Amino acid sequence: MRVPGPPRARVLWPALVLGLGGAFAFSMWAGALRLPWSEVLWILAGGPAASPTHGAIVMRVRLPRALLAALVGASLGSAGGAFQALLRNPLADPYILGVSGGAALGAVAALSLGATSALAVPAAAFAGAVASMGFVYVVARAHRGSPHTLILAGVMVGSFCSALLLFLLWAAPADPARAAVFWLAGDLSGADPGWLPAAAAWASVAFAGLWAQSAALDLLTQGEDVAADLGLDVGRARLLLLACGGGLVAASVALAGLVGFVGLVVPHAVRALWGPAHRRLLPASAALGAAFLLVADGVSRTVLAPAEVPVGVITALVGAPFFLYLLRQREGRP
Amino acid sequence: MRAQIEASHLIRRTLARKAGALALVLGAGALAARAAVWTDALGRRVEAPDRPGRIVSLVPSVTEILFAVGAGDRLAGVTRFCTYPPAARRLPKVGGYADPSLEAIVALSPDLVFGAADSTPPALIRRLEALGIPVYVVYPRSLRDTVETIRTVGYVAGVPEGGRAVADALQNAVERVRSAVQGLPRPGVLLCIMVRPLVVASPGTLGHDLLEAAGGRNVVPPGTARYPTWGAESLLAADPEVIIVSPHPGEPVPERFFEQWPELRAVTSGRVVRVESDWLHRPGPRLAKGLWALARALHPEVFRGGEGR
Repeated sequence: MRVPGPPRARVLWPALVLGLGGAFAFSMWAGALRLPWSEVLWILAGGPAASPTHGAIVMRVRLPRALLAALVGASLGSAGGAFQALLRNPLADPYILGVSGGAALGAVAALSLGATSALAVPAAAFAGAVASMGFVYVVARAHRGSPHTLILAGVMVGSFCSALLLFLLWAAPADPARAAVFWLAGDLSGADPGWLPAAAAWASVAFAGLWAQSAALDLLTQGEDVAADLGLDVGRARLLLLACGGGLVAASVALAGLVGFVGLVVPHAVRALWGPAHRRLLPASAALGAAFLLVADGVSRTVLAPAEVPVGVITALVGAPFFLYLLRQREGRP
Repeated sequence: MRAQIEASHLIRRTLARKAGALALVLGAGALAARAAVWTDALGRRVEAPDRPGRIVSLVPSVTEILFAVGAGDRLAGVTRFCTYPPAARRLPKVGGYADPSLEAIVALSPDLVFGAADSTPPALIRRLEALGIPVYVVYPRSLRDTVETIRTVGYVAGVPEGGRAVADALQNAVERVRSAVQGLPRPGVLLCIMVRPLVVASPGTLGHDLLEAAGGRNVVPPGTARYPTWGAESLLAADPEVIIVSPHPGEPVPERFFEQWPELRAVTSGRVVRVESDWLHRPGPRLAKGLWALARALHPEVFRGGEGR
């Protein structure tokens, strides 16, 4: 027998597809150069551009950037949803298990050691993210410890990394420090479009792994004891979830730095709108995360054009008030 | 605040023009050591010895100026960013320009400290003054400011002739380049501070003044940020005729960054030109070198040879 979903579940998929499509269209249209809609569509459809510059802007600047924003937003949204359930903490975001500190430390260390290869900083950030999560997993004895231990261990590892990071920034000459600050505020302009296929494949595998654990996530939200009583191998489920969620976060950090807020607020919005079942929540969070970051990035590229505002500023400025509105709506409901 | 700064600049300039006497010598004879009273770039009153014997510079450009005007031998301490001229490297260090150590400064027992309004922490200035150490604050944000700052630093350091000579040399270089490019077409120029990320100079910066003086037109419009970050799209849309780059620690070969955009005029015509960063962005005597380098990059048909031609 099918369990009926929340009342708005029926409009879920059409709404998400429309939202994602609209966000993608906005992102392709937004930019420092005013290009008419028709021309953007024409170039996207493969038609010859009016000038090589317009062609390059649509196909080699906006398109890769929109795909990157969508990929990073989807990764952060779905990983955030999984971490909130796994840690049973509404304040959990994808970076909570020491990832922000570890990834930033890796990236800034690479920058201040004078790394010049384009791949060095993403690779170092990825390594830092994976290392800090692995360390948190081991010290918190995550296969049997409580979620609180995991969170506290994550915060401690993050703080330790932040201290090292502050020291590096203090000791570094001004330019690498400036590049690092951009990276810490989230930067969608740095990634090489050539990395996108590999990153998309990686994220798809990790997301599939996460989605396959939807039932386990539903059980874990009831508490480890209940989940274990109901026959869940809690240790194994946690390891799988942390590996898949961590893989998503580490990849997005390597591609775009630390883009705040998406992974925290998007899963809450989905839960408030369409209920807590993870079979729905994870893909919906991915779609909404992608749409949210597409719009935020479009705004960041246009609001002070030709200058670009860090995208993290926009995600928080737009996201926080919207989230407060959702909270009030939910509290107001009987 | 802004108005205050501008007013003080104006006052300083007016005073400087008047027979080069910016100083008001305090009550003759009443004081054993002669002292001069100055108004610095923040409009603060600074009382310092007529010819300070131990100077600490917290500003790399002021360190350069002090050496150029002939007061380098009286420098007692500098920051670890004061790397030019080479003699500056051998002086005792008091920390970075934004976080110098109060104790290290005091330990050198200076009778005058130079700071800058945009880098020296105001709290440090207050503490130094409370300890009886005068702090003269400079704030050069344009080419004209830089000429005046050089002149003023010469006066305050007790070598007015040196200050005048170095300031006039820079002013003359500016005027010669300006008159040489008069009436020439002005190519669109993008002046890049760094390329990863792409940070560019907008109007209201020293680099902008230099490229205007060298007969170029800045393609960056005035905006909120003096040094905004640009995406690839802004770069392609602006399509400058000349791009000026400087190597920076994250990217020793900044020209490489632009090779990925063969759509750019500057790339196809080979007009991505490298100029050393300190020649363009450090408000000191070496701006003349930066100006010549820019003029050669923008108008190679006029400035074929070395400086001065």
